[in-house]
Amino acid sequence: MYHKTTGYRIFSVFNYLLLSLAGLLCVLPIIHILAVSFSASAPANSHLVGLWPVGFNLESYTKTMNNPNFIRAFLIALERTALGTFITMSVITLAGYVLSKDSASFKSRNAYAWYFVFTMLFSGGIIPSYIVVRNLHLMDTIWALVLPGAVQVFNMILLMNFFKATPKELEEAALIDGAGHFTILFRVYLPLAMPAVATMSLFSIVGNWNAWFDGLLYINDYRNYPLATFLQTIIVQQDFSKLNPDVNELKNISQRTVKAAQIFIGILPVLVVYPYLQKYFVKGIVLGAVKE
Amino acid sequence: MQFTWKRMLGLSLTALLSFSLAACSGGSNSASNGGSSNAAVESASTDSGSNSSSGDGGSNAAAGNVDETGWDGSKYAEPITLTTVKGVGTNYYFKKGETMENNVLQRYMKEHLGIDVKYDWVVTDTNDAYKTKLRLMLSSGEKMPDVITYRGDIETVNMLIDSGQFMDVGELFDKYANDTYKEGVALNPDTWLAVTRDGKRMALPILDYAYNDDMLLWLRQDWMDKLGLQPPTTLADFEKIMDAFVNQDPDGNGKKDTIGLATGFKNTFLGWMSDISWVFGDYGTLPGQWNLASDGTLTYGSVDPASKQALATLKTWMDKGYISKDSGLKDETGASELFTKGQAGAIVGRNWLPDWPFGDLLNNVPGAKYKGYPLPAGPDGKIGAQSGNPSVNGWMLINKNAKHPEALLRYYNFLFDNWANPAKGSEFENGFAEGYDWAKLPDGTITKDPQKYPDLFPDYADRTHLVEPIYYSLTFEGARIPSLYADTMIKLANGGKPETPYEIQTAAIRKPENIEAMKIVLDQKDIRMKNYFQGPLTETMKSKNELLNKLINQTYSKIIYGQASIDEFDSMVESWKKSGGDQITKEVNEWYQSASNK
Amino acid sequence: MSIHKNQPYSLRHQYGQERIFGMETPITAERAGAGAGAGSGTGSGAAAGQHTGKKGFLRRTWPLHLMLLPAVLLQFIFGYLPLGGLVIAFKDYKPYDGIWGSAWAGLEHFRYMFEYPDSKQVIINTALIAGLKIIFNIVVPFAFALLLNEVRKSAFKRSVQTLVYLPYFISWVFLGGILNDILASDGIINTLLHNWFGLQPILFLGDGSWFRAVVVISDVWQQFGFGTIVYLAALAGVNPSLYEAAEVDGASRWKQTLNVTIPSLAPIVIVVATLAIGNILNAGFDQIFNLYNPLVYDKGDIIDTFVYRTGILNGQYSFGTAVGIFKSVVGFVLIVIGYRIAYKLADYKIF
Repeated sequence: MYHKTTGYRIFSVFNYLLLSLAGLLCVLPIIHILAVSFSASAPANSHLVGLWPVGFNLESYTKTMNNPNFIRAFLIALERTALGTFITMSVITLAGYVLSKDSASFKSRNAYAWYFVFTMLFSGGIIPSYIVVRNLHLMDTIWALVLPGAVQVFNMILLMNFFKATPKELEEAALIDGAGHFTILFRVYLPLAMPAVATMSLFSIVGNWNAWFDGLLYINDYRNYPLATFLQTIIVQQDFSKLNPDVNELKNISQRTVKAAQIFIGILPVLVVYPYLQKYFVKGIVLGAVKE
Repeated sequence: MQFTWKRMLGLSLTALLSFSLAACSGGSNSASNGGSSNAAVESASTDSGSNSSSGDGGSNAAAGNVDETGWDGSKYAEPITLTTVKGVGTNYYFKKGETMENNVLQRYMKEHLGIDVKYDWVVTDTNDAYKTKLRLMLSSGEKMPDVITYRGDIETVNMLIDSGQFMDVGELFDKYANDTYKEGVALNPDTWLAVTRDGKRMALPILDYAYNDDMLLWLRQDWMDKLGLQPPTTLADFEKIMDAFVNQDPDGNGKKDTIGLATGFKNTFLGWMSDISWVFGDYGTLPGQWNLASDGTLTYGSVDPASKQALATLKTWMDKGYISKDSGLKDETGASELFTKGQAGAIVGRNWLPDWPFGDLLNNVPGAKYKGYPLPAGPDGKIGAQSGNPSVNGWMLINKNAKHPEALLRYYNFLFDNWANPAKGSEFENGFAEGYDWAKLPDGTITKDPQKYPDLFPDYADRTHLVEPIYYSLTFEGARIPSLYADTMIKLANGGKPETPYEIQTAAIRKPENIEAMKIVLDQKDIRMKNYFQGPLTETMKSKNELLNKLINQTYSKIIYGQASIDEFDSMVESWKKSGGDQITKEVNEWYQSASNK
Repeated sequence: MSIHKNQPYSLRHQYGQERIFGMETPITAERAGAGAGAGSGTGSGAAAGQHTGKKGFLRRTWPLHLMLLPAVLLQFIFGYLPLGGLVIAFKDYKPYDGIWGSAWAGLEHFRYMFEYPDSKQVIINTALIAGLKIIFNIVVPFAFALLLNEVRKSAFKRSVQTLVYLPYFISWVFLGGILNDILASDGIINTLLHNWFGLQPILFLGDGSWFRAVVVISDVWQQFGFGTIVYLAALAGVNPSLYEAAEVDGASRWKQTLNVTIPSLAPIVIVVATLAIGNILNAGFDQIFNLYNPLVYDKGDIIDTFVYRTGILNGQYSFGTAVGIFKSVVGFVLIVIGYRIAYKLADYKIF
């Protein structure tokens, strides 16, 4: 009804224009980056590439993908992303569910909540974390990549707040049916919070996919790097101030095209996964889930 | 689900236990003398540890002319093990199946020298990963390997030295280093300064080619010719050239879009490329380093009155558009892009710029030409440019408890003798190994092109790059004789015929502009102004350097941009002195006294 | 279950109350649980009958502890154990001496931080830049999500939603290069300004005030797609029957937005905002580091760039850690305050 009024129609036109403009503003740099990644290194290094490749070539991609470690790194990244997202989502869903209880029904909840919030702000830093991981003998295992960052407190708190929005009537009804906490979580809370779960999964997926520094720290064998870490190693980094170069070394210095390709590869999972997850953002699904 | 649960529970519990255990042992380590006592941590490197002792045990059994270290004159009679750690450069390539731990060079050294190099860990050295790992290793009390090689900031070297885990290498060097190595070290009297503690030499230098960091002026020769300009000999000449570059449309596109000099001083006024410090040199000082004053003391160039004159000159350049309005926002590489995209007509940098980044210029601007020139002289005829510092490109530290500390020197000696300047017909004449970094075509010519001749370079994983086994060596590029590069280039510049393999190769790969530039560098070598302070950071430097550098960089930039008057320089000097500069000057001179009295 | 049948009524009832937090918030729920809800109680008569049984069940809390266990353990190991390392803020940490073996320095590093002549300016810069970022990074994504919510064409909505998320993935090393290009004295922005308005080139990154604006705007540009997703998820959770109820009441779209949409999103906004103020002293190292230069030290130098320059890379771990603790404490205190305020004013517990 409302969308038939003249005022709303005018608003709609402006709205579409504004949103298109915002979309454009965000996609232009991406196009620029794509253009750089497909350009010859000389114009790219000299910042002469705009929105269209100059001296089109695929070298930055072939260079990256021809590397014998590429496939392996890609697979390890997949494994890490799958495992990491699974662990994170399991852990924060369980914890988020419990914390969404009010303190009247679960007295310890406040203490637990602060326990987690505290770690959002205070962290021991690289060296102690490294010592912990090493003493757990997790070095060179995939667990060193997925466990230390598994508890995403920010996401946990968001999820908890989404859970809080679950109508208590539903929970009570389930209780009457004799359901336990796990049943309530999986049959009542999760279906209702699907948009939030999809969001947190997305954050976790892109986070795992793009994390690279932990790979450098915790994986001693560079053949076992996940993709993001591997891509970092593709970029030639030289301390020029002390460089007494070999001609052969110098030829390899064409960072910008490779960097651009790397950014694009980092974005890929979003382009692949996000459209799929977006179906959970559709309004109305909530009621449908409850009806059954 | 349950699987993960159990797994995590199990992990967590063992985790807790092992952490508390390790925490205890870590504590006792640091309290005691460290070094060999790190039993708790040793499990990580048992492999290399046990090998090393067994190898040594056998050495007594060897007979004949074997010396007390087990060396028979050309190799260890019983192979010994040398443990180390490695940051694999991103420019290292391997054949399929080869790794840092198992490759042609590793096998060669084991077979021919009896030195088996083992790695406690290997990391791809990107984003300072090697440095980070080294520091983590130090911090978490892990056992140090026999040898650590490090290329990079001197602070990390100082940290390693300060750990007390490494030996005074002076005696070893005197006893075992061969003449080539010793001569290379002796070429510059300052070589040891950076690692000398109480007269003890704490690390072995990895030598590199000399004169390679000297600055010269590069001009767009096609612009010079087009505008009919003469080579500059003075700063005034150079200003005229820049004026022509700005106002006479050298690129002929009808727009006033060109500038004179490509320079950037976002990070420093003493840059390794796109340098601006030479303008200060024209007034008799160099910023950001310690210069020798006429009274024999060291003074800091950035607060020298001569710097004020240089800044005044730079301000006029900025006003007239000779240098980019964005110069203050650009670092060395960023500024060089002004030259490589064809906007700037001049840049000051090293002799090898034709190899990089000038290749980009030729690609971006068809028909562009560049040529090297001596730096122009200042109003009083002064010229000064950075350089003259030791030709050292990395340090090697040897563990106090190493069984065979001398092995590293034998390894390096071997490379100096056989690799650095190989004789005609010798083993490494064409490269390290056939099928790796060179191959022979049926007609006898040597090729280094794995893409064109895949059959001659078997098992390549990535044909876009040459696999160079020498990079796998403990000493980075094998061995380099400091004087060799410049001598060869001069010989070639003077029309000499390349004879040795090194000369032939140099002649083949160096561009003519590069060779010419090296001659200019050597012709102007008395303009070199070295940094006289080569010691570790002094106490006051540690706490005040950040503040003082910020003060200087900020004031300099603001003066050049006209955001502050030139007289701000004087008040800057005042507050520099008060805020710790005077104290640092005192400490630097004390260090200089003690270092030069030695 | 047949509960949904009752919902429209109760929801509509509460819509009339114009509560800040809409229907599906815990306030409603708690009230329902306590039997004090004005309207919702009617819908759950059956549940009320089982009240005692429910209480008994909920008193058994061990399953709840169990469900928290994985997170608690992981956080203990990887979050709390390394905290021991913070002790180096009070020591003169020398790597080889180890964390425990290094000599005590007391509050020396904290004193250095506050006696540093520029520390006041640096802290002000940090808080100002971070504060502006926090505000705009809440307002812009929120507004953007509301606008997207008005889009009926699903394909368009999804496309925009995806596109605006993309800048989030561009590293500042690269983005800094792009900004340097387009903001250069002869870059596209200055060229346009010159051609259209005849302006002299503006040194956007070489002038303190412009620099702050560039930093905040580019950060918001990079982040808002990320923030938008959270609000879109929240929007998807708003019960459509609320809108139906509102339409029955004849509310205009604008009224509906004011009375249904915004109240429904308010809890999430408050949560995000409260957690964000913990970052008041994190103004974005990567970004500033890649954009700043000596000309803008006055207004653009932040705590993290300052610490970086003092040489955290060169092993001054103790000082870096001391500054980190200072930042964390300030952030924590602010979060506690935000938590209290949210609880007092809005009657909402954010965590």
